[in-house]
Amino acid sequence: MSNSTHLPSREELLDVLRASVHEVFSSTVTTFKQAAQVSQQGEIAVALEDENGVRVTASIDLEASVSFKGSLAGSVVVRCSAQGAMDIARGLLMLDATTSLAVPEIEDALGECANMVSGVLKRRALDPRGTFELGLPEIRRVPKAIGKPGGMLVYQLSEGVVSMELWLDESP
Amino acid sequence: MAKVLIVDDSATMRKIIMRVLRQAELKVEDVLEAGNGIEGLAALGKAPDIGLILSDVNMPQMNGLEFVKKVREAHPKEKLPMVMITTEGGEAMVQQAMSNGANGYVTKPFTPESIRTALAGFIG
Repeated sequence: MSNSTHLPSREELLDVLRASVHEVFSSTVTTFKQAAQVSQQGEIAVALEDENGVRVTASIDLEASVSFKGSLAGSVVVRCSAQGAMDIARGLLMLDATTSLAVPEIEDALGECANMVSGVLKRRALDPRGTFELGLPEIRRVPKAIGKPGGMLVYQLSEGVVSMELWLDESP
Repeated sequence: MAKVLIVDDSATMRKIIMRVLRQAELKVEDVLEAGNGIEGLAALGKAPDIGLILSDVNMPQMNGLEFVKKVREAHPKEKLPMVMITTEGGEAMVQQAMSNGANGYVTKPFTPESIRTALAGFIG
């Protein structure tokens, strides 16, 4: 991405979000694959097609968000099924599939995942365009719309599903 | 062998750093943990033999930039190395951290190799 002062478009941000997720997941979550997305951003479940074209639906049970603020403002939101959150926590902590984790550990891991993805996004897409600040991770068990939808990427993990979403503030 | 203080508001990240320190086979004698800059200063007060501090930047109550500045009021750069481990690897943040007294930085996500490279000069 060139060093210029114009703000990144929604499409550019989504491309960088994809690259950011890849960078974080490549070093943490061992099994992940971007899935064909069927549902709309903001729904309380994500639908996706598996490799055989079969549509599967996963509920959203937990979400973590990190806001960014500058000449453009919004949030990176990680929304997971319960199993997807467990996959991410086990991946980050390098635990095998048989290790159980307490809810606070899973929530903290999901927050750290959102933190890392938003940090990479900031470094790659926002920092070259000015001064931006990241918020601290917020965890919710009930998904919440944060501004206007900016795009979503859905991933199938080892056993669960995660939706990596970009939300943009209504008035920057 | 060094006593290392890890300052990060995420317990997950503190565990990851501890694991990576072991994987990187660095000479770490003991690891202490703190959840923000205020806790970090308290830990340093209780254990003055800490030989290396690894600190996050974006934390509640006292962030890493403020923390490094406070530590430098009593501990010179040559005596107590501080390395920032952060997702925020932007040029402005790095310059700020270095001018506040950090000795180096590592961006998240990191590998055992990047940690080994960043810390090799401080703990062998």
